[in-house]
Amino acid sequence: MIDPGRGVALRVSRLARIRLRGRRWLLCALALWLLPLGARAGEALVVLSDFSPSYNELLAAVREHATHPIRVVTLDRLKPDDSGTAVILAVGTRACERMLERYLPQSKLICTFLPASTFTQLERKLLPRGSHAAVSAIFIDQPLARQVRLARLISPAATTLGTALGSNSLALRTALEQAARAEAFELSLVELEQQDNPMQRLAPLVQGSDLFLVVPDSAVFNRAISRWVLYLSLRHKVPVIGFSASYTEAGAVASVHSSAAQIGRQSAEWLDRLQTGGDLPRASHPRYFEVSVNPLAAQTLGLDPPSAQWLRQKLARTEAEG
Amino acid sequence: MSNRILLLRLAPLLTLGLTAPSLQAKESPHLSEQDFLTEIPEITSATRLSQKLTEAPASISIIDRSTIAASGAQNIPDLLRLVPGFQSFHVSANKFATTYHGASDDFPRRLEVMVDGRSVYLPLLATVDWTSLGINLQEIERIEVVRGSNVPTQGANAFMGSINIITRPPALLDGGYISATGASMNTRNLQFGHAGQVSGWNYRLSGAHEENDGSDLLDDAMKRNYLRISGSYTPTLTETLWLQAGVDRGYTYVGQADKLDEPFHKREHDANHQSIKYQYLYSDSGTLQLRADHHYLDLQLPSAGFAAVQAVLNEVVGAVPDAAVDEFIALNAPRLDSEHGTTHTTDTELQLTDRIGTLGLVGGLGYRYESAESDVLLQSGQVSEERWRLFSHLDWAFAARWSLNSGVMYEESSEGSDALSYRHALIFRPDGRSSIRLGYSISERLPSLLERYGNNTVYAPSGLFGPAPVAYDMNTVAAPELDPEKIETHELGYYRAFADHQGYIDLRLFHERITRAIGSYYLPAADLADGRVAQNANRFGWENQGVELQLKQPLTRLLTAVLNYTYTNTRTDTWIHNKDLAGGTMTFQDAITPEHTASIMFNWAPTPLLNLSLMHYYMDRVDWFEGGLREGYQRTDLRAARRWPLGGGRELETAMTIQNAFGPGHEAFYRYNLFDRRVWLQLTLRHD
Repeated sequence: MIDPGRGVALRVSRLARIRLRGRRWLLCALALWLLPLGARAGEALVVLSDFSPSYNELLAAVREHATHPIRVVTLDRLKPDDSGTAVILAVGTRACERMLERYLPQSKLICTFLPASTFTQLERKLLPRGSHAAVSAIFIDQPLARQVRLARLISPAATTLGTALGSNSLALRTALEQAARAEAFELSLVELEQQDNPMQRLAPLVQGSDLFLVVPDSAVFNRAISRWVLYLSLRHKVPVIGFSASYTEAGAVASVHSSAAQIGRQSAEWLDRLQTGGDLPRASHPRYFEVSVNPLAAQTLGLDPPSAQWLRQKLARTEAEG
Repeated sequence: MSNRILLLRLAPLLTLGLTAPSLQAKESPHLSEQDFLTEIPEITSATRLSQKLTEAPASISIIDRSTIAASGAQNIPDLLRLVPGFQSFHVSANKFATTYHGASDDFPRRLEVMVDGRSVYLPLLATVDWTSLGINLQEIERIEVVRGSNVPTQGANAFMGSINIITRPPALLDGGYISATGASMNTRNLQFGHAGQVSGWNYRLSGAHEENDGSDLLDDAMKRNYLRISGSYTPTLTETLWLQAGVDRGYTYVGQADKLDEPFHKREHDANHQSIKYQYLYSDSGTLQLRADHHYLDLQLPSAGFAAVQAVLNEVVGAVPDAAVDEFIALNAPRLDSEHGTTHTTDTELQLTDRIGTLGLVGGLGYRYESAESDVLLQSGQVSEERWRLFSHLDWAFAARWSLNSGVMYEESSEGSDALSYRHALIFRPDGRSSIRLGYSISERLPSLLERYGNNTVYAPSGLFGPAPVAYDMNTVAAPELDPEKIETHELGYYRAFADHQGYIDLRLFHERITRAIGSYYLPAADLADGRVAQNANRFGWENQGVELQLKQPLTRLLTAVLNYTYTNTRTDTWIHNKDLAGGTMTFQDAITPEHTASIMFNWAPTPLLNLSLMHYYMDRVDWFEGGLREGYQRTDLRAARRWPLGGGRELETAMTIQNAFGPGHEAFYRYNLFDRRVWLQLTLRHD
């Protein structure tokens, strides 16, 4: 016997299935239609802190070296669902901070072009303790060992390495001491505070050093001491080892640094690795780097340093060997 | 559109710089990538922002210490021969001048010249007196020259460009030097400098005694003594205080060498200056700067004595009684030349610099008080002027390789006129070492005190033309209603630094149109002896277009070449000066500006202790206002210097410079001012 109620129920159920199937088709069609606007499969999201010459240089390198498609947004254009993209590259401190705040477990996040200490602080602050988040970073700064090794190559006979630390770079003290020991330097160090007279604190330090290493701190610290360090370097004939091309141009004998393009290239390689199913590399300092030498500053200080290319190759070879 | 309406439209731009600190007050608690990208201050002359040459909205030439030493130049204007577009000339053996794109007399008035940012432009003479600046060449760290109008940054005097002479920072080096120079013109120069520290201050003390007998043909000797001290103090990590003061006293014989029998006269000078600057880094990117300075110059020419006045009166009006000569002297206080008087310039300025994202900003407010007094040039008595200025500059990197640079300067004078100047440049940087720049600017130059109030009348004593003294000849009358001069510039620039920053190419194509230029125009005055009187008027104008090239190229590791070339095509409006009161015109024989100017320098250091250089200069024919038409000339200078280390941080340097080594002598500015071969021997002892 036919239960009329069941027949109605069957009809309703078939109707519901048809409607459901129709809805699915509609959703698929809608998804296909929206495809150009939304994230496409395999497309990595690049989030820029903003547009600046450095970010743009990095972005150009990513575009040049990445073999998979990328989509680029700046922080002010970021949409809520962007955080769900499978692979995200956050360029700069602000982009990294925002993407860590919005981190979703299905994403793999690479922060790039930011200081190592900042990344550690942000990770500690914004990710739950013991989290297994797929987050890594490419730092803007060089490993201290690389900078100290450059100092040794510039002046093989030097014994005392002078340096000044500010509030933001104090945490580097231990690493710096280790790097100096590894290169048989005696480290001479002062900690500068806001109310210190930089000339009075730095003059005896530079005078008593064979080389002076400039360590990045806050921009105000860098701006404040750069001029005085370079003047004292000339006055006491003590070579300065800097951390940027700008330092070398201004009078440091040599600096080791990575350009935005070099960090962009490494970022592109990491994106490709993730997009082809590879593992997320551990947070690290830049793989690609360059050395700049100021021949005029060297000549003024009576030095005849090797070429920038030789120094870079020597540093790369030493790191590869050990 | 009036200046005031334009100013209202540009007000947001002007105030951006001033509001920057409040926008940036919140500091990031941790390091950012900007901490690694911090620029060490570089050139600031073009916009007041610290920039690389590829970021500047103007063409800039830097004359560094090594170039100064290698050139063998004996004065600052001589160095400017190594800057494209500049023409330097000797008015006499000890009076020098430099101008950008010609169009000048012996008092070039359209260039701002600064020493460490302090203007040394003299409102009394509407020019710069290079013989009383109180600095010797060894004290100069570098000279930044902005080619083309720089009024939006440095104010009205920078109408055609600006020169900032940056002296050696007191904290740079300890030790000192003593240097003796002699040879041609019986030169006896002794210069010294010393730097050290005392009570937390870094100081630098320098000075000189300079003396020579002038050229063989003219009686144009000079003698001067000067002393200068500068100091810097850094109370905290973020604050710096600079102080500078100096005095320069002596004499220079001045005159016009357009006739052989024209006598030169002793012009004594007494100059001093004081300057204070405070800088505070209030944030990672922000800097506040306060500056105040004062510059004083007193020029004294002897009064014309009884015999000289009597001779002139006899020649002009026939024999006159002695009493009339005495009365003439009492009425006119005649001087033997016009470069006589006293002038003060006091300037204060507040400036804020900051960066917000991709926007570099600078803004500020300045006040200048100028006064001048001269019984020859300003017979109506002391004149003064107050000038306020409000300025701002933006450098906006709006896309990957593009930036827009905009600057504006508004100046208001107490004398009833104001000036608005602005400059925009669109800069494309294909890579980190090169840039292509498209620039447009309009600048206005407020008239100087001398241009506005210069007046000179010769009074005839009683009994000569009537029972009472009468105005016999009114040479110049004041023109208080003068408007600002105006220049409109279009330019296309290209700059590329070669690898390792050892060389560069700097190319500039320009078109500039000068209108409302100030010059003398003659008006009828029936009651005067010659029936006319000159008054300054905004009646003149001209256009320049051409190209400038500067190329520095290391040829080997030890040999470097620097080439400068300028082609300028000038088209002048008809200049009606009405000198004959019948619409008389001025002609410049198509040479108001030299068509071609070039210089080349080779510097070779075959050993670390030996330095050899060769300079060759060429300047095309030019018709100087006042100086007259001078044919083009070539000049070759040679210099050889050898250092002798003496141990204990001391070294001796001997140098020989031969200027115009291969002759022949050429007429410089005036027909009878011959620049012949000159030899300079210099002995310098330095110690750490």
